[in-house]
Amino acid sequence: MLLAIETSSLVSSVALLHEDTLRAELTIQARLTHSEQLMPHIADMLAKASVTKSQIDGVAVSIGPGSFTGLRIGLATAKGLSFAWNVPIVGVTTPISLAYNFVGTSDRVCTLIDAQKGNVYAGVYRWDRTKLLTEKDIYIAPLTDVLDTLEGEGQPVVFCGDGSLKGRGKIEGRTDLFRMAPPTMVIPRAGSVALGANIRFAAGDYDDCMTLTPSYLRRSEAEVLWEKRHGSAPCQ
Amino acid sequence: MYTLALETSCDETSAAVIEDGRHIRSNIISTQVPIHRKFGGVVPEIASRQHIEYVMPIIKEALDTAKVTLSDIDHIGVTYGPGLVGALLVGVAAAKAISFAADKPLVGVNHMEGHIFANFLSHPELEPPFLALVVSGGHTQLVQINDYNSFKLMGQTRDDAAGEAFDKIARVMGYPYPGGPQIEKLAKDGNPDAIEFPKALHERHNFEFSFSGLKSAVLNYLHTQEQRGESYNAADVAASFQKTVVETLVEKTMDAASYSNAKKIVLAGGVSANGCLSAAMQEACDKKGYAFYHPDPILCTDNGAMIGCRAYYMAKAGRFADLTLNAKPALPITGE
Repeated sequence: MLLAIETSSLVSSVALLHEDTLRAELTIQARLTHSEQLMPHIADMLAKASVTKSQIDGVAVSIGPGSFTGLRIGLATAKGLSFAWNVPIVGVTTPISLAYNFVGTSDRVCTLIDAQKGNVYAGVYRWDRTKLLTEKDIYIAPLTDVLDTLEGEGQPVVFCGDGSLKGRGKIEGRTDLFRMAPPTMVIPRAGSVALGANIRFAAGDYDDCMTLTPSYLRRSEAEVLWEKRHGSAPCQ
Repeated sequence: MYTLALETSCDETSAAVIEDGRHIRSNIISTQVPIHRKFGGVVPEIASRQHIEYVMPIIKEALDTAKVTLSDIDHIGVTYGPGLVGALLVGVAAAKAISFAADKPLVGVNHMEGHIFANFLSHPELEPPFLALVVSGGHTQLVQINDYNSFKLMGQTRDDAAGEAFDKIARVMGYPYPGGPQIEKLAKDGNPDAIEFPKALHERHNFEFSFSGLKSAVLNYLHTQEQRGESYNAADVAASFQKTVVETLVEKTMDAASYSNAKKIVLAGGVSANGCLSAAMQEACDKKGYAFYHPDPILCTDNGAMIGCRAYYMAKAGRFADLTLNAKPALPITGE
């Protein structure tokens, strides 16, 4: 049984996937702190689903990009569980996990994660029935640039991720090709993290709970400023 | 009884295994000081990134060095404040996960109380009651330790902490972060009576501190000399500044000791590594017949061992945390 954790955005989500059965999923958007909610949610879910700790044989976690603090709470929790239970861990990037909200969909899937200041981390995916194809790997750009490109390519696109919710006004009504995902599919969910991790678990392709780190895709403001002033990259 | 303890409140990632509260089986510390140096101080986001990278290897190394496994551990202690929120959250989340997964009770530890308890690790004979002076980069506090779980805050700084003043003055004088040890080194060759700097809140039985006035006075002195085109003797400035801080700390501690009828004085926190401060405090205590304690240098820095010692005494009193434990960046000393 796989325990999955998703705290890369304001959505708090945990799930249990057992082979082809989603045993449980608890997804809450109440703007409560991940720090206070995550462990109690895991404990509650296990109890309510009548699953014991010893039944867990893998931990999956969303590794971003996303909220730096949210990612670290999810990662620290997942790594601690993986270490203490001595079970493998697999990190799934948030866009891949979002794409798993749409298994089998014929539209192209555009994942948009808020990158602040009008920018988004964009990724474009397509489902070939049950096979996920990456059409454009994750990149950072102004939302309007991403939308211009997709519109120019002339194919139907479904949008998801907190970047799409924030930019809803720019997406909706722009072209008939674009649609927002419904509320159940627009947010990152732990059930989809588990699905995204499943292939790697099946192949024995694990990460290491000692070394797994978030995929920030962005340096800290202090490093960027330092580089502006000094003209070369710090910490090297 | 074994305590596993975790400390990630600032720029040190540390884990320790403590046996029966006072015996250090391991105390692994990964410092980020070299990483933050070029920024002139701790950058919270960078600190948090280091913690998430190092937290698990440090925990494993602490267990391995202590030659115990997680199943041997009786409870897990973790710093939940005060400190940098993003940094604290890494330790708190990891500790909660391990506590839940391995069915080990969780203890949330106050970092400043941990600093005080570092003395129990360095001095097996030490027992409460005593008076503690806690001096670090973020805090300056006088605390009555009545028992292992009964404290009373007598006074603390209204503005800058003593260590903060050291760091800021060193920075202006062009020394890299952390500046405290640099000032101490400089001061050794300086005349402590060369320049007179002001002491704040000097009146009797005032147990509060204020170091921002002193800091401004030193910075003003440096700027004035510069504007006049005159050089200054850095060693004399460092020695005169350090003397003012040390005298203030010693005088207030002695006043608080007689006021609270303390017979034992304990120094704690990062600045307790300052040799001038411990020597002056020792001398003052000898004069009054007080016993004086301060931690071994390695236990003056942020470390997991001191958190483990504090956690042990909280666990013995049944003071456990639940899975909702959150980081509290401005956590005060509790008082009970």
